[in-house]
Amino acid sequence: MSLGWLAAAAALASPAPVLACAVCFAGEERTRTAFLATTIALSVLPFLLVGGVAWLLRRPWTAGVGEGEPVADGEANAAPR
Amino acid sequence: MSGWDAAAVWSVSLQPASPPRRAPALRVPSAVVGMLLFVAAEVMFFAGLVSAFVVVRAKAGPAWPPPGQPRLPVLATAVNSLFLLASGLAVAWAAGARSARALSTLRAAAVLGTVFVALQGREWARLLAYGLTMRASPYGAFFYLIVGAHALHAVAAVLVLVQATRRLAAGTLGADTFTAVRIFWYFVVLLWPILYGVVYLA
Repeated sequence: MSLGWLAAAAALASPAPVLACAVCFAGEERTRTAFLATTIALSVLPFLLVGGVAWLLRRPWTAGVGEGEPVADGEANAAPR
Repeated sequence: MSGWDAAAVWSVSLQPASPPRRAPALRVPSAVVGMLLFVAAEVMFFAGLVSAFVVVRAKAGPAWPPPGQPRLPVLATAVNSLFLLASGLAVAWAAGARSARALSTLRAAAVLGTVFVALQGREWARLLAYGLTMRASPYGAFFYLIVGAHALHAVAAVLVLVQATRRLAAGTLGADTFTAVRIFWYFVVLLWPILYGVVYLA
C-alpha cells in the first residue's frame, strides 16, 4: 500500500515523461485525430471479430438442435439420430 | 413379495448400470471454424495496414498524392471491381442452386475472379511503367503493399475456387468444405470495396 502511494506521488511529481509521445503531443491535429481513431478501431475490432465468429458458429448449428440432452429410457435402443 | 416382483428385482439388479444416453453433441465443422479464424486474423492484418496508411495520409495533408506521382486509375478499377462483386454474387447463388446449376455458376465465379485479377495486374503494369513503385514514395509503397496483399489473397481464393469447382464436378465436394470456400471468397470480395475506398479514393 505505501509503495503504491509512493509510485503515485512520483508519477504526479514528474508528468514530463508522459508527454513524450511525438504523435500525441507534438504532431498536427489531423495526425493526432487519425492516430486516435485508428487506435480505437484496432482496439475494438478484435472484440467485434470474436463476437462475430461466435455468433456465426452458434447461429446455424443450434437451430432446433438440443445440446447433449438426455435420451429417455424408452429410446435407449432406438437408432442414433 | 410375489414371484414376479422378486424376478423383477433380480433382473434389474443383474443389469449393468449404464449412464443415460445423450443426444449427439453439437458439432461445428472444423473446416468452417478454421476458415473463420483465418479470416479473422487476415482482417486484423489488413486493419493494421489500413491504419498505418490512414495515419501517413493524414500527416501528408493536402499534398496527397505527392507531386510527381502518377494518379491511380480510379474509374478503371471501379469497373474491375464489378467483376469481383459479380463473382461474389455468383458464389452466393451457387450455394443455393442444384448441383448442375451450381457447377456452372461456380465456374462463372472463378472466371470472373480471374478476370478481376488479370485486369488488376494490367493496371499495375501500367502504373509501374508510369513510375509508381514501392520505393518512389510512401504513396506507392502503401498502394503496392495493401493492394498487393489483397491480390495475393484473391489469387489464392481463385485457386481454391477452381479446386472446389473441380471437386464439385467430380461429386466429391463436401458441404463443409464448400462453406469454408465460400467464407474465404466472401472475405476477399467484401474486403475489396473497403480497400478501394481507402486507397483509391483517399
